[in-house]
This record gives sequence, structure tokens and C-alpha cells, in this order.
Amino acid sequence: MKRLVLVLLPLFFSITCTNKKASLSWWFEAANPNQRQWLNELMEVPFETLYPEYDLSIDYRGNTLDQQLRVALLSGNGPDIIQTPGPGYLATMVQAGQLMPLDIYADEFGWKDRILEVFLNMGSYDGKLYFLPKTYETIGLFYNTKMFEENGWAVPKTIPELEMIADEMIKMNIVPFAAGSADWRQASEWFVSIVFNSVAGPNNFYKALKGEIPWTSEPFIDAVDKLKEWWDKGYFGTNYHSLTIEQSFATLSDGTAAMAPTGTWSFQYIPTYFKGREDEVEFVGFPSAEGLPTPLYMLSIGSTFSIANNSSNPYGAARAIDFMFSDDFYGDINTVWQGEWNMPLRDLSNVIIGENVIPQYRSSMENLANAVSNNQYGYTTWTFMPPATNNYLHSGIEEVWFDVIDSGEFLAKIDKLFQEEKAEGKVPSIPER
Amino acid sequence: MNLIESRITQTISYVFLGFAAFVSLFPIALMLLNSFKPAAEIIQNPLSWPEIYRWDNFIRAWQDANFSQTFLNSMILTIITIILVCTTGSMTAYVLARKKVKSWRLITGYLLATTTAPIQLFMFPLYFTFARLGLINNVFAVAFIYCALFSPFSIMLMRTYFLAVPKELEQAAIVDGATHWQVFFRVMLPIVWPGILTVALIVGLYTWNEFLIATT
Amino acid sequence: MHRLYILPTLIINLTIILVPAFLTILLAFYKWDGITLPRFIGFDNFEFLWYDRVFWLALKNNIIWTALFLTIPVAFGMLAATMLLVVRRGRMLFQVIYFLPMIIASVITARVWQGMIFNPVNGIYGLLDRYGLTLTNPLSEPSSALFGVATVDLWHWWGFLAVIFFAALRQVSEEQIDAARIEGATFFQMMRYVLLPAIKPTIMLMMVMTVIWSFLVFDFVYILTQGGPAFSSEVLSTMAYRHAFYDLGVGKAAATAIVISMFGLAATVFYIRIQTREGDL
Repeated sequence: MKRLVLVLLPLFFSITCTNKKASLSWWFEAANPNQRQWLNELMEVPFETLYPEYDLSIDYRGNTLDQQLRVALLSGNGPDIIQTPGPGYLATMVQAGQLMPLDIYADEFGWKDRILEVFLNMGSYDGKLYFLPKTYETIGLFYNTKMFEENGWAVPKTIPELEMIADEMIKMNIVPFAAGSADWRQASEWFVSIVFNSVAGPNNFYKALKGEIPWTSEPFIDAVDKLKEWWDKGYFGTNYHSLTIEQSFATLSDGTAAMAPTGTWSFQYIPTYFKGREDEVEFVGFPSAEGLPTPLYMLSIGSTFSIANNSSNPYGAARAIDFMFSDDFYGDINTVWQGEWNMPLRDLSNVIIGENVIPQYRSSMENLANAVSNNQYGYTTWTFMPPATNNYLHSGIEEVWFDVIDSGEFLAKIDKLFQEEKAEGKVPSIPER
Repeated sequence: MNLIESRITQTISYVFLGFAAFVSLFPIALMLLNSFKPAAEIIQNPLSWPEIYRWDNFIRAWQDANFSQTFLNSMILTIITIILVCTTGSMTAYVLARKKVKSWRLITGYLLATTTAPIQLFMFPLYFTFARLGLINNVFAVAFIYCALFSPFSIMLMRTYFLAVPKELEQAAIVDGATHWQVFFRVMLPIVWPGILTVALIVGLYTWNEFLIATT
Repeated sequence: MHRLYILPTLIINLTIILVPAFLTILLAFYKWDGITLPRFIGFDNFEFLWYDRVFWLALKNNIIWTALFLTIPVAFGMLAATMLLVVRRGRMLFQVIYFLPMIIASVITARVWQGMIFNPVNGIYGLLDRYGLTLTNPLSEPSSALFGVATVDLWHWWGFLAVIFFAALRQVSEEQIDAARIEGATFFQMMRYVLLPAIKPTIMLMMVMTVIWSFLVFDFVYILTQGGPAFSSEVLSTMAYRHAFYDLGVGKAAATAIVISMFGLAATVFYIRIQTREGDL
């Protein structure tokens, strides 16, 4: 009898305790302790308060998130909410059936009304929606307003204007472009993206991505040659390979450099390096060559959210994603952590961002949203190019810079890799212009 | 054991060793120096003396990384791995050193061969198998993987230590009527224990610092 | 009976190493992106490597690396180990100090060298620059990138050899030393005729391992330069890693892995041959 009770007791408990919460797992990349705290306060806790039937756990996997996901998904493991660093691999994941189509959730939660259309298109393959961007960003030009004032420089709108003031800066021993790739060698793709848009033009970029013209066409050769010219003239300074992204941005604040061609992700450094003098830095779109529209906002997706096809709780996962695409969350998270949480909401007018966030950030995000909804955007290599092509790009441009190969050979290799991957269906979705 | 040399040789030795120690320590000293600084200061000037001593950097690091828990996990994993490698490895090393098995050449060759393969590429098939067996976050499973990875080098190293033991000692023990296990356990092991300690240290170190497999 | 002694090692090793290794070898003949299904393509991956400029560059770098590591750390390690025999006090302290670089995680070591030493703005190089001695950051120039990385790894590695050699030297019997001493041997003669031959097995082993590990080298290259700038510091394993995880070309990575192993295997065969000849094996 006693034995029976002993056996039944745990059984009894487990039955009564099966009113457990449904668990949602989300693998995140790297986050420092402050950031983890913000995510906990602004996401995990409110979400679980709002929907007490879920137990959301964010697992911080570090910089190798991508590799870990790859290996895990292959054997049927992995989280419910899949976060990847960009759309590069998603085409292949869709092919392998690892991702769940999100159209039913899009309809139920009304994403079509709340999210900018171009991103819904980018997230679709074969007519079905598979991912939403966590953040979208753009590359432009930060510049030091004080230095510009002191030297009488006008904000450049065209490439010739840019080169004119850059040449002056070189004469004064000021670095025109603050840039550094010591901790993120892939930074070189930012500059390739810039010239592909500003010199070759977004229309040509679009055609090449669609496979209508090869990457070896003349506009691209001109673009790469121009980038090489800037390198040779010394626009990037002498310490490009030695400075980290943050260190190079800091040179914008201490008089060493006057401009920084980088993306909106750099807004997170302004509080530290421009403390007390936030009006000395401004962000504008990058200048374009003659005949091209300006300002041009090059589109980049910073991270993506998808739901695993074998998730046991897809509805919960969709709810979590939906929670983030709300005005409240946008306002809260951007107050503390700028640059990484620019969810593509259609309408930012009701979002309340904390007062301590510099106004330039808010206006930049609004300008970007407007430009995108008016189809006035350009492309970035890491968001729109397939993986192997984009990976070669980082090292390939360095080879051009160091005179190992010339622009023709570089673009020929890019074209070869691109066509191969295109044939295998690995190119991300390119929405119609 | 010592090498008795002239004073000149001794002094030169001290100088050389001292210089080597300086070279080894310098970057570590830099690191320590910077561990007291707040982040922005490090980025701006890594060589300066800290303005204030941020002892709380350490406390925060401990708390934020949930150090106590992760420390314990690493500790357990390391100890299990060391035990596994040293026990299985010392036996194998002994057998290989004294050629007690006919296929020693083959086994030595095989063990060395396994060290030549890059582990990053093992990840795919390895993870796959372990996932199917449901062993992914299992400490013992990881310890076994480490054992397999670190054993070959450890065995080869321990083998060299076994080789250095004079054969006469073994033979004397056998003459005295010792079984093969007693020869191993009571004669060989006590002599080579410093070598085994070194190996334990190395294996412990590798396990503690190992990152790729532990995170996947 | 002694077969039982080696059984545990073999069981663990075969299940964990052999099966995945076999699968990896198989993968070299397939085209696989790591996500969808593999496709058989025969020797295409090897053909690709043969014609790939970067492959030959990486191979050359591995060979240079091997040459560097077979000489410098071995020489310094031996020298330090022998000197440790000479000095009586402070042995433990010196050993601990030399071993410290090995204990620190590679990421941290790399960042210290990259940011605090080589950095021409904020690091030691920057400091020297302000005093008039301008040195370029070796990691930023294609001609010196590999050597910059090698410097960091040499700093990290040499102490390990010193400790291992010293442990072996301590086992050399007193009689041999005394006998040589009586015959009037100087320090260098002692080293050449007594000590070196006595620990020959250890030295041989470490040299073979150095060759094997030089073809496997990954950590510092990956963290410091990822093979750049412009592929100048690329080694076979960083190239393989990129193929496997970034370029969606696992087959090519597997093929590279086989090449890496080939060199290690050659060294292994060489080692066994020598040991057999000398009756040690």
C-alpha cells in the first residue's frame, strides 16, 4: 500500500502541475550585460505579463549564433524563434524547409498594415512570407558640424563636391573618412555598397541583382575604380586595418577625422563620444554621382526573425514577434539601445522615444522610413547578395586596394560567384522597384 | 636534478630566463592594467594608468556571466575529462611504450592520425549524432568528446615518459612475482606520476578554455 | 591480457572520431551547403581547390608557419629548459610564468596584442610613434600580416615547449650527468652529447606535433585577421571554415580538411618510421 502511494504521489503532482506554461525559446546573438537587462525588462517581463501562458526564454549565444543555428537546425533541434544576422542564408533555409510560412500570422495580426510593404516583399519567397527584419538600417555620412563650420565646408551632395572637401582635408592632415575594420573586417562591404549605389546607381544595382546585366558592366567598374582612387589618395587614413569600428568613430569626435561613411548602427556610439555636444554631429545620405537621385538611402537589414518549421509553439512565437512590432516596444527599446531595433513600422508618428536620445536619430529614422515607402532606396551587398558572393567581396576589395588584382578581375570573380548562386536559387528576394 | 655550472653560466641563465619572463608577462600585465578601467577608457588609451580603480568591474563580470554557475560547470567538466584521459590514457601509453600488444605500430599511427584532422569540420556529423541520441547538453557526453580529442596527444606524451623508465625495474618486479597489473600500478605509475600530472594539467587547461564544442 | 588496457581508449576514440571523420571524408565528394541535401559531384571539389589561387596561398602560409614553429620555439624552449636546470632557485616561478600565456584564452590574448600592442594609435606602437619610432602595424599590411599573427602565437606557445622539455630533462639520470662532468664536459658539450640525446623522444614527438598542429592552426589567425588583409594571412583551416560556414560550401571545406590531414599524416608516417628504426617503437 505504501509503495502504491509513493508511486502515485509524484504522478499526482505531475498531473496537477501540467498546467505549465508553454515555453518559447529564442536564440539571440551577443549582448552585453546592460543590453540583456534591457531585453529582460522590456521584452521578457512585459510579454509574459501580457500573455501569462507563455514562458519566454532568451538564450544569448554570442557571435557564433549563425553556425550554431546551422548545425542545430540540421538535426531537428534549435529554438522556436530563429534570429539570423541577415537575409543571406534564408533563401537556402527556406529551400530546406526549416522555416515556417508566416502568412496566417501576418493576416491575423495585421502586419500588412503596420509594416512597410517593401520588407514584406523582401521576406517572401515563392509568394509566402518567411521572415521579418529585426532592424533595418542605412549607410550614410556622419560629419562633424563644428569642423565643417570652422573650415567653411558645405555638406556635399554630389561626389565631386565630396572629393573637393576631402582633398582639402588631406592637405590639412585631417582624415576625410573615419573608418576601421580591426574588429569587423567585413566593414569593407559598406564602402563597396556605397560606390555601387552612389557611382553605379541603384537602378544598375537592381538590374545586376536580377541578373539582367553582369557585374562586370561599366558602371560597376567605374564604381570600384572610384573606391580604389579614394583609398590611394588616403581618404581612409593610414590606420584603417588597425582601428576598431568604435575607435574609428571616436576619431570623428576628437578632430582627427571630419566625416564617417558608416551606417545608422553607429548612432549607439554618439552618447559616449559626443557627450554634451551632440549637436556637433549630423547624419545625411551619402552624396551621389551626377545624374543620380539624392539623397539615396541604401537599404540594409540588420537581423531577421523567423519561426522554426518544427516549433511546438508557433503561435506563441508569432505573438512574441508581433509584440516587438509595436509602438510601445519600439519607443522603449530605442530609448536605451539605438541603432539595433529599428523595426520597419509603417508609421512612426506615435512612437515616443526618450528625450535623452538625440533628435538626429529620430529624424534619420523618419527620413529613412519615408524614403523607403516612396521606393527611393538603394541596395547593400550583405542584404541583397547571396552568401559566397558577398563573402568574397570583403577580401576581394582588399585585394584591389593592395594592388593584388584590379577592378576588372574583382568584378569578374563576383559575377562568376553570383551567377552560380543564382542558378542554385540562393539569391535573396529582390522586390520590384 | 641539477646541473652544477660556473657562476658566469648561472648569471647568464638568470638573465636570459628573466628576460623571457618579462616577455611572457608584459601583455598579461597590460591586460590586468586594463581590467580596472571602464570600457571607454580602455578604447581611448590602453596604456594609461587607470584613473580610478574599478574593482567593481570584477564583481560585475562575475555576476553578469553568472560565474558561479558556469564556474561550477566548467569545473565538473574539467575534472571528469582529466580523470577519463589520465586513466584510459596511461594504460594505453604503457602498453604502447612497452609494445605489449602486437599491433602497437598500427595503434600509435592511428592515434597520431586522428590528431591531424581539424575539429571545426567534425561539428556537423558529431552534433548530428549526438542530437539524435539526445545528448546535446550533457556534461558527460562533452567530457567523452574531449577525452577522444585530447587522448592521442596525452597518450603520446605519457608514452615518452614511460619509455624513460629503465626496463630493469619492470623485470625485477616480474621476477619477484608481480602480476602485469601490479607492475603497471605499483611500479610504473609511481615513477611517471610527475609526467601524468603534467598531462593532467595540460588536459585541464585545454578543457577549461575550450569553446567551440562547448557552445555548440 | 594487455589488450584490455587499450580497450577504453579505443572504444571512445573510434566512436567519437572515426565515424565523423569518415563522414567528413565522404562529404568531400559532395556538394553541400549545410542546409539542404548533399549532391554527389566526385572530384569537383578537389579540382576547384587545385585551381584556386587562395588555396595555394593558404598552403604556402601553412608551410611558412611550420618552418617558423619548428625552429624558434623549439630553440628557445630547449634553451630555457636547460637553463632551468642550471638555476636552482626560482624554477617553479619561472615555469609558472612561462606557462601563463598558454592559460589565457586565445580571444583575450589576441585582443591584447591587437589593441594594446600593435595598435598604432592607442597601443605600444602608438606610444613608440609619439617618441619618434614609427613602426607599422604588422597586421595591417599583406606582407607582414602572417608574421604578425605568428608573433602572437609564438609568444603564446613557446613556454609550453619549455615546460615539456624541462619535465623530460628532469628524468635524465644523475649518473649520466656525473659521468660527463667527470670527463670535463662544458655546458654546451653537456647539452649536445648528454641532454639532447636523452630527451630525443620528447623532442621528436613535439616536432611531429608541431607539424601536425601547424597545418591545423586556426584560432589566432581567425581572431586577429580572419585571413586578411587580402588573403595574405589565410591558412587552410580558416579557408575551410569560411567555405563551410559562410560560403555554404561544406564539400569544399571537407576536401580542404583532407588536404590538411594529408600533411599531418605524412609527418606521422615519418615519425613512426624513424622511431621504428631507432628501436624505440
